[in-house]
Amino acid sequence: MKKSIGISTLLILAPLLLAPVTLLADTATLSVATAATVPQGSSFSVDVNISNVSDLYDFQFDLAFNPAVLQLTNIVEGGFLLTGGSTFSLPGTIDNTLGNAAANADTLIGPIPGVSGTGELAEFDFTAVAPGISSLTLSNVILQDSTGSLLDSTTAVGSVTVQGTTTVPEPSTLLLLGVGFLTLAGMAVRLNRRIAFV
Amino acid sequence: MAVRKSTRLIRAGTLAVYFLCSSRLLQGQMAQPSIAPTFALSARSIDSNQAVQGWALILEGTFCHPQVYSRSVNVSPLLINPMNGSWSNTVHLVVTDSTGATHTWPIHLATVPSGPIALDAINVGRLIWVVAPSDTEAIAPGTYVVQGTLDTTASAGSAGWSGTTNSNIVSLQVAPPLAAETSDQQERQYELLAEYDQLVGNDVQALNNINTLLAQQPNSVGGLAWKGTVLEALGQTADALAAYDQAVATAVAINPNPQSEPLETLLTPQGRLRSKLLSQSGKRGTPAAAIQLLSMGTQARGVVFFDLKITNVGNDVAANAVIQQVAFNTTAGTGQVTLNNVLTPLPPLSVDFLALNSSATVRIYINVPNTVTAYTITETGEIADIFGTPTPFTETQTVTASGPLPGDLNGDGSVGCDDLAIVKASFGKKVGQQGFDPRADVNGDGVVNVLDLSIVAKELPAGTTCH
Repeated sequence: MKKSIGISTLLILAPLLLAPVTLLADTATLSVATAATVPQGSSFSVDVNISNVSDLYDFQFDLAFNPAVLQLTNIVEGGFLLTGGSTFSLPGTIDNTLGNAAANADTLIGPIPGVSGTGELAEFDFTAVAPGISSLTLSNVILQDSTGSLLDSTTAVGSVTVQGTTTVPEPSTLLLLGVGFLTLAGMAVRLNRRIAFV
Repeated sequence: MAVRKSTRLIRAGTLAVYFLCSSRLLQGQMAQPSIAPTFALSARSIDSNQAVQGWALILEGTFCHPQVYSRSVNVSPLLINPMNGSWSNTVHLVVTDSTGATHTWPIHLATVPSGPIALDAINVGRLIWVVAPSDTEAIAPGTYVVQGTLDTTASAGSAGWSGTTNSNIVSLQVAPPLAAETSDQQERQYELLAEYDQLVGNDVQALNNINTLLAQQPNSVGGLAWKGTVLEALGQTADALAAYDQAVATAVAINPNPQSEPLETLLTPQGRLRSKLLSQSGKRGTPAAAIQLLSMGTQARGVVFFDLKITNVGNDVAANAVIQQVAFNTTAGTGQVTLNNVLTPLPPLSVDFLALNSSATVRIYINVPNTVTAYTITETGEIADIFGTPTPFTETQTVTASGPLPGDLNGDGSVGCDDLAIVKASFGKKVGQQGFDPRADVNGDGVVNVLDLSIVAKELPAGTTCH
């Protein structure tokens, strides 16, 4: 009796145990790849990549950033979909006030299969305008396969730190500064002596 | 030998009068702040702009209230009220040549109407002037301009409309006699002559002229039709019907697939005459309705329209045909097809007089869910003879909802980069937002996004490059 209950329990639990594994296997992940830190005033790129996707035919997503730290200057189509054929890419609408690039979209053209695996969806060119930290958040993600079915996805938040500029004194400046200090010290000593003699 | 549109039939038609009046309104009468009659002038000789020495010349003026055939307003009549005599006394024609010099042509009114005339939403005035063939011989070849004027300023009295309105300008090129006439020109000359004879009240001479034409051109459809008209005017109804029958048979023999309009100009008097004969003999036929889908188109997403062609296939003319109900039945797929009551007037849908074998068209708009792949349309109604006796009918058509070409957003019959551009232009927009193009919302979810873009992209040939 116990044995039969145990088997039944296992049979009932089996799908539950397997389910997370199955979901993970079918869920694509969108992630942001960029340098962890960039100097203020520099230009740099942020790649939005996808991994673990099957039969991707078209996609769309928004990318949010901190506009006080970063300004988005350009959006370039990634190479992932192009491995499947010709594409029609629509760069998102850049809003450097709100800090958003909305509705970045790309689709294959023609009755062809989608692409699978891992690759770059789009490249975002930024300028680091002020020191600080900007998160890079993906949202409103739509992924479709070649049959028109929606694909599950997760997103990974990225961030970039913009370092402020620190002025490093030049050698000649240090020399002048040292001379200045020595002169001041000498004057102080002579002044102390005069006071002592009064 | 072409089956030419018979001008005498067209000019007698209500639709033609409406067109003439409407066209004059468009030509400038609407610019006048006060309501004034419209005066449309046209000429008939070898055509509307060319006359020939020795041919009859006919000029026709149509006078309309600017709101003629209006059903939505209360139209106050315009009274063309001469102090005495015919209202036609308020109208005169002026002929000038290319130098501006005025010419006096022997133009005569074919029929002089009596008393005043009230122009309103229904009543229109018509005057026909003729220039006899012997008189056109005296007109020097050249280019002339004819314009009419309706002037009631001196004759309106206290009740009539007082004012002046000019007709459109008719440009006429008068040519010397044709050296060698083609068969069509010969046919036209005799038809014009027959019309002139009838207008001046000489039906016998008209018949003689038509018989002369038919002796030389036995298969002249226009000549046969004119013979029917003249014989009918002479009271020889049976012979007239035979002439009409021969005209129709000849027209069909010449062109088995004629365009509907020219043939209908023959079928209408034929049917009217047959009905008259049946009535005279005490025999009454029965009109019957057959309905076919003439054409189909897409009005908007999920809304298609059909032109229902109602044909009288009975053996008597119909005073009217009324579709009282339109029903739909889904035969493949799921969902219910319904009449679009926003775009289609609620039944009953009616058409007026239908001669034998003649047709009229009504358009209906229907809502077709995209889950429906085939359905039937059933019209139930009555067709009534001229005595008002109804004959019920029920007609059913089957429709396969193939729908428009997927992805063809601009409706040009193919899917191309232009269609992607339509989605691109509205990309990211939601319904109600400025810039939202309903065509771009291909899946109809109220927002234009990649789901719409990919639907169109899939319909393009693989490898297509669009920017």
